[in-house]
Formats: sequence, C-alpha cells, structure tokens
Amino acid sequence: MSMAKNILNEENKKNSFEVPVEYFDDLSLKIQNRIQNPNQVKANKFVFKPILAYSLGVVLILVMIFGLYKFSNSDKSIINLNNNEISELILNGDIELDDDQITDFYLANQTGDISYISTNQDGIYEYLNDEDLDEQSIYNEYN
Amino acid sequence: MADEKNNDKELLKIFHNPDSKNYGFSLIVNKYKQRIYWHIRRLVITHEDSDDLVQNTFIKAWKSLDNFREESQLYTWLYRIATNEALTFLNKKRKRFFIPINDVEKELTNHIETDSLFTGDEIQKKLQKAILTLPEKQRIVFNMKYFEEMKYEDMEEVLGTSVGALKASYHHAVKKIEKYFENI
Repeated sequence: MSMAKNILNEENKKNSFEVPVEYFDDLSLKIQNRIQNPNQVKANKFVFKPILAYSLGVVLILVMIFGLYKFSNSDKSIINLNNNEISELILNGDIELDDDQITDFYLANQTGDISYISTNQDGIYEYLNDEDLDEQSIYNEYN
Repeated sequence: MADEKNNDKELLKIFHNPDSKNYGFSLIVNKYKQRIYWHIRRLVITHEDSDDLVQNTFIKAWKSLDNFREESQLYTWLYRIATNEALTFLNKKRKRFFIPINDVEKELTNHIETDSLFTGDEIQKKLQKAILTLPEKQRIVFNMKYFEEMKYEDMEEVLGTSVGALKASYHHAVKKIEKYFENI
C-alpha cells in the first residue's frame, strides 16, 4: 500500500528513455533538410496508402483463389467425362493420342462389350472398312 | 517565465525578418526540440516513431509560423502541434492494423520490455506500463503534469480543456496508477 502511495515520487520522475548518441545534434539538420527538400520521400516509408495496399492484397488473394478453383475444376471436367465422351474427343482429334495410348485406353475400359465406341461414327467406320478390319478382330488381337 | 516569453518574442522577430527567417527558425528548433521530442516519446514510446513525429511537428510549425498571431505562447503552440501529431499517429496505427484500441497500448507495453533505449529500473518500467493503461487524454495530462511539470494554465492552452477538468483528469490518473501498484 505504501509503495503504491509513494510511487509518484521525485525519483521516478527522472527520464527512463534514452536516445541514440548525438541524436539531438543531428535533429536540427534533419529538420532543415526536410524543409529544404519537401518532396523527398523517406526510403523506408510505406509508399501506398494503407487502403490501396489492402485493396491490392485482397484482389491478389481473390485472383489466386479463382485460379485455384479453375485449376481444380479443369481436372474434374476431364475426370468426370464418361467413356463415350472421351472416345468422341479422341475421334474428333480434340485429344491427340498415339496408337499405343488408344490401345491402352481401349483395353483398360473393355468389358467385352464394345458398344461404348459409337459405331455410327463415320470416321472410324470408314477407317475400319478401308483397313479391312472389324472391332472384334482388334479386340481379339489384344487379348 | 516572463523571460522565456520575451525570449520567444525575440525569436519570432528574427523569424519574421525575411533576411533571417532560416536562422530564426533554427533557433526555435534548437530551443524546443528536446522538450517536444520527450513529450512525443512519452506518448508513442518508440524512438523511431518519435523521431518522425518531432520532425513533422517542426515542419508543420515552419509552414504555419507566419500565421502564428502570438495569442498563445510559442511553446504551447508547438506542444499543441506535437500532441496532435502523436494522437493522429496512434489513431492511424489503430486503423492500419485493424486492431482494437487497447492493443496499441499493449504493443507499446511490449515495446518497453524489449527497447534497448529504455534505461529505467523495474519500478520505472512498471510505472510506464501503468501509464499505458490510462485513457489517452488522462495519459497526456499525467505526462505533462508529472514528468514535464507543466502548469495547468499552459496545459489548458495546449489541450483546450479547462483547468478544473485537467485537475480532475490528473487526480483520476494518479488514483488509477496507485491502484495499479496496489494490485501487482
């Protein structure tokens, strides 16, 4: 209790803070320089107004979130295609695959029923005719 | 005090003479730079911020001194600019970091713990922390009265608050600081 009452004594009035050596000697010069060069921007000063900086930050975060969303969705759109859609993409030339890749895809998805390749696709039908091949012989060749 | 007023009148006379304006201003800076610096330092605590603010204070004084009509004393006028600079700085700091009001004072309290330019003993450190728990206005009044031993009449000129209100404010601040020490 007595300590609390005596805390505001003369001793505790003395300055508890310090400044770097010769700070006050240089201060007048610093002030004079800033008066003579009013447009000088301090190197370590924040050049953006805070509101602009935060807005820019928010925009960047939104762009990143949008980018990540698009990226993950683009994966999903391929994954979610059914076999017929993938086949169409291959036949239309939207996805370029070599013969081995097509064969691998065919074998990986074959169930004995080859109906998922639409035989009314003009391109493949003509191709099989031209090559004197039928779908069953291709299937037999790889099994 | 009368001597000081006369001395300030002399300084202003030198400043208002176009041939000696720079010299007059440098005399004013040299006379008041330390008092203004310590006033700001007790409010914002860190040396780097105080350095910026004391420079801003004198630059504003330089721009406005031509319009200073000597209705108040030069030093209370400078104190008023310095106090406004410090309070504006603290308010900006609160808004900048989106943090509640008390957190700036908490940040300043933490700074006292680690500041190599704080040379006070443990009691003085606790005293500074106790002062940082005061409401802003009480903190200013307490610093000006206790550390700077400023007269209430001069504080009235600086803060635009009546002497009675200033006395009450100081009294409340002292009670809160004593209570702070009772509880530790």
